[in-house]
Amino acid sequence: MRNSNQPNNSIAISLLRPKSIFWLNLGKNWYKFSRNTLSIVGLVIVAGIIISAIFAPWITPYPKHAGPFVDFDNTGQPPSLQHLCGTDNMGRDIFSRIIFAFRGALIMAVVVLALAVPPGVLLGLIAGYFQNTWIDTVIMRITDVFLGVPPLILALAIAAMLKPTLMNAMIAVTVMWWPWYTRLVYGMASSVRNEYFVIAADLTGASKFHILFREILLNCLSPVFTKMALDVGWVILIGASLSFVGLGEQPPIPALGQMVSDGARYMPTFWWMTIFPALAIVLAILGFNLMGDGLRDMLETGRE
Amino acid sequence: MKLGSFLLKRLLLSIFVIFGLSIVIFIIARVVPGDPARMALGPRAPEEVVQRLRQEMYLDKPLPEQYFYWIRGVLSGDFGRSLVTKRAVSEDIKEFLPATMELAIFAGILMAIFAVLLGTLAARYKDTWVDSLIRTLSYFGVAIPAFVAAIIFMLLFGYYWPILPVLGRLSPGISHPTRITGLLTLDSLIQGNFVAFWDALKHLILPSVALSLGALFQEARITRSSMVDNMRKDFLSAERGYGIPERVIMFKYLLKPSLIPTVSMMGLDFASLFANAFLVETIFNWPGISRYGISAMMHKDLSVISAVIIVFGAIFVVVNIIVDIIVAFLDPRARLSTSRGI
Amino acid sequence: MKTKENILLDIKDLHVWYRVYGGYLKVLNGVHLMVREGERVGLVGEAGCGKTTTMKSILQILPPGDFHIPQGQIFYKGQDVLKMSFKELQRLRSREIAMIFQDPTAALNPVFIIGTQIGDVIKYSSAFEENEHKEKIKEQSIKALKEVYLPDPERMRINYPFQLSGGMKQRVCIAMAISSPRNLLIADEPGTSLDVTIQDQIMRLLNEIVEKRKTSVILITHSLGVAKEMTDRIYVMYAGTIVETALPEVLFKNPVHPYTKGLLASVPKISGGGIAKGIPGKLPSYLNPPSGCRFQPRCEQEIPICSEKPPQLFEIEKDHLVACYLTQR
Repeated sequence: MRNSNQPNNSIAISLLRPKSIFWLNLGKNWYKFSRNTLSIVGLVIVAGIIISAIFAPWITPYPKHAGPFVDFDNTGQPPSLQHLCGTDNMGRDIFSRIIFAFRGALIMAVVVLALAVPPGVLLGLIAGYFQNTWIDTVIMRITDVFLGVPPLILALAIAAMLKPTLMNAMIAVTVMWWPWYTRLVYGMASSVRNEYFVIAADLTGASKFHILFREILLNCLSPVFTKMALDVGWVILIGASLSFVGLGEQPPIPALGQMVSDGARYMPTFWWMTIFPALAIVLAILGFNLMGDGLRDMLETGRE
Repeated sequence: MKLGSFLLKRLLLSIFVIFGLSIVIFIIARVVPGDPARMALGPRAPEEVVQRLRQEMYLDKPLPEQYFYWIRGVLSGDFGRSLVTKRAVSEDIKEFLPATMELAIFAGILMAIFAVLLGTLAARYKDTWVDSLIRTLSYFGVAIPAFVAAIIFMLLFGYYWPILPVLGRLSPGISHPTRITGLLTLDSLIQGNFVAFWDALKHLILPSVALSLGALFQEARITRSSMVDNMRKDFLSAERGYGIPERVIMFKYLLKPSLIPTVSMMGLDFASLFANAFLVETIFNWPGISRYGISAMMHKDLSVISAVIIVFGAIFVVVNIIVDIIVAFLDPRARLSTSRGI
Repeated sequence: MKTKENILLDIKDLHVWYRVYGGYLKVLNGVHLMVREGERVGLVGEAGCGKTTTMKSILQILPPGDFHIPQGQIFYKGQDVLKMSFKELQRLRSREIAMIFQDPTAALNPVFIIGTQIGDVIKYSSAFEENEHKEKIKEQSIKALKEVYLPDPERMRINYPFQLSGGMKQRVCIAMAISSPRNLLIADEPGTSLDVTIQDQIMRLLNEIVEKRKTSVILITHSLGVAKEMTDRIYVMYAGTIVETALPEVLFKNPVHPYTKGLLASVPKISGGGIAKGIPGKLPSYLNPPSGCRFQPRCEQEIPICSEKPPQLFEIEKDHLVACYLTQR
């Protein structure tokens, strides 16, 4: 009997099919999502960030300021109508730079998740399927080793060892990210694995491939999707922490953490140089968290 | 499974994990481009000197041999020499670790107390303004990274409202208590030096709050949801129905099962505090091991990097074991399985 | 002779609503139930009809905050439970009434040993007698565990619930309920979540205990057979209302309410007759319940007044009450 505490994966599954039921049921799914106003707020924030990041060159007031640009006449201007967040120590408009910084942050999140999630999920599936064999033990022990290092440290170590660029920062974060998915999927896969329909598939001679993907994976999807949505926020946080110490996008390309760190020197007089990028970070994390929570409510209605 | 054999198993596992960690670190450190000996001596040092240092550092030997020498050193407490401070790394660690430890412990205490307090309040007054307030605070608390909180505190308390100190561990002019544990609060208490104690305490407040903020609210939410889940469970109604008084129900029968997920999370968070402290340490000028390690990373000071990571790894492992013990104490079902995930 | 003084529990016109998103679930719609001293009362009804809710209301252990009682009274020994002070409620729960839950796994706290749980029940049920000596409590808990025929009670006490089988857990629950003398036992479908042979054992055990102690019992079951064998009076419940009540033989020989008739006809007979006929339809929505008789949507014999207002219980012959307009001609 399906345990009612398990997430309802049908919605998540239907997201993957083109002419899917998800879109047909959009009304009902939207209702579930929108029951909580905070989720809507999150969605709005996230949409705002994504859209402004994509269309940055066209919608920001001073797109050139996000590159090699200096205007020493205008340094240290407080927030005004022309410069919504003021200007920094090189006369660049902070608001525009923040929008461009979102680009890097989002790219990093997408790349990291795209690189980390599939292997992580795959390993978790395999370990869960072959549970209690040597395959399981080996995979999970390796995962434990990676999880045994405080995540930030590992990312920093790698990023520092290599040259400080966005690419390397992404690699570093990816390396530390995948174990969480392995653990998540492993937990679910190993319990699903013992459900009757999987054993039945096994007995009737379905190929391992089929079992892994169609039977087990599809039943683990919802929490994975939820986690991915929430993780975007966390990757942004880690990325900001890394760029705060100088690892990540190099100047003059703006990065949120780097802007906070640069501006910190000019406190308290020129407070806007630090505070606005800091607020931008908080806003981004907040938005993805709220949206992720709403997503969880929508996808995981296993508990009513 | 009895507690003893459970512990033993965890211990062995942890040692294995640390070894694995050391291998990973070692490989990463050696894979990095750049010549450590050259970097240590600078670009102008003559080649023979560099060559001699290379031999001293066993850099010309094959990798497994290098690993062996390194592990041997580590096990006897010798982590090599720091390129930056030019001292033995073990000296540096001895000096800086207690500072971070004090910070982490204080932050950990804050986390434990307030997470349980806020979570219980939110559960008890579910769906009232108390609950909504705590939930809103939680969303923000979780979204504010430690360094942002630190910067804001700097701004607020450093300049606008200087009621709490923002730099270092002690105010200038207060004499350091003699070093027993390295924890300023403890040392000064032991020696009866209340002035120093109070001062050290004040200095601890802001960095610990900044450090613990995100985790604290995350744990509060978990406590709340765990309590709410358990409040509607049948066993509570049954216990109530037998006439067991409400306070016993709340503080005994509800609390214990509800704390289980919280404690697990707290353990993980506490262990991470050590590593995540570096940003806070940098901003508040706190002489801790985290900051030391990060600056080593910037300077590619390999011996330090490896040593610091091993130390963090070991702390992580020890904390995890302690958490496992506590969880096993709270939840008997957990004793039958090793902690393999949530 | 049954006089008013013998009435132990008297539920009058109980309405209970659960607050949910979108309104109220109006589960109980005027429940009447009476238990006399020493009487064994059976409460029969399908899953979801409100039996457990009624019982939980007696002890006031409904999930806190989510429910609302717009009208009704529950008299226990003459006092209205719904108006009791906290202390009086405490006394009621610890010394007068005990409930044995349907699912023993859910009813036991998973992180405490049996000894602690049953010990606390004993400790607080005798609060007024200062019976707090650990030894005495231990003695009493072992005694209770022995009474339910649990093997090796000393070792049982230090076990955790998950280490016991379903049958054992149910026995523990019963032990907890009888660990100190009570006047009324409520057994909510004991053994339904267990397999049939164990269920049978549990029922026999209960029967034995009840006979020995002469406590009053409310036995909730969805099995008419069990109710017939083990009760002195049966109440038939449907969708939050009592539709019929009578002595078991009377009920079986002469069911009056269409639902009761349907229920009896649904029981397959080994003696032949093919597959039993069920009752088409299902329980009404509690969110928007029918304004008249709650069985009316499924009833084959309805008359116009059935959909206007709910029928009241009406005595059609001695000790046989029915809530149906069809009988009130």
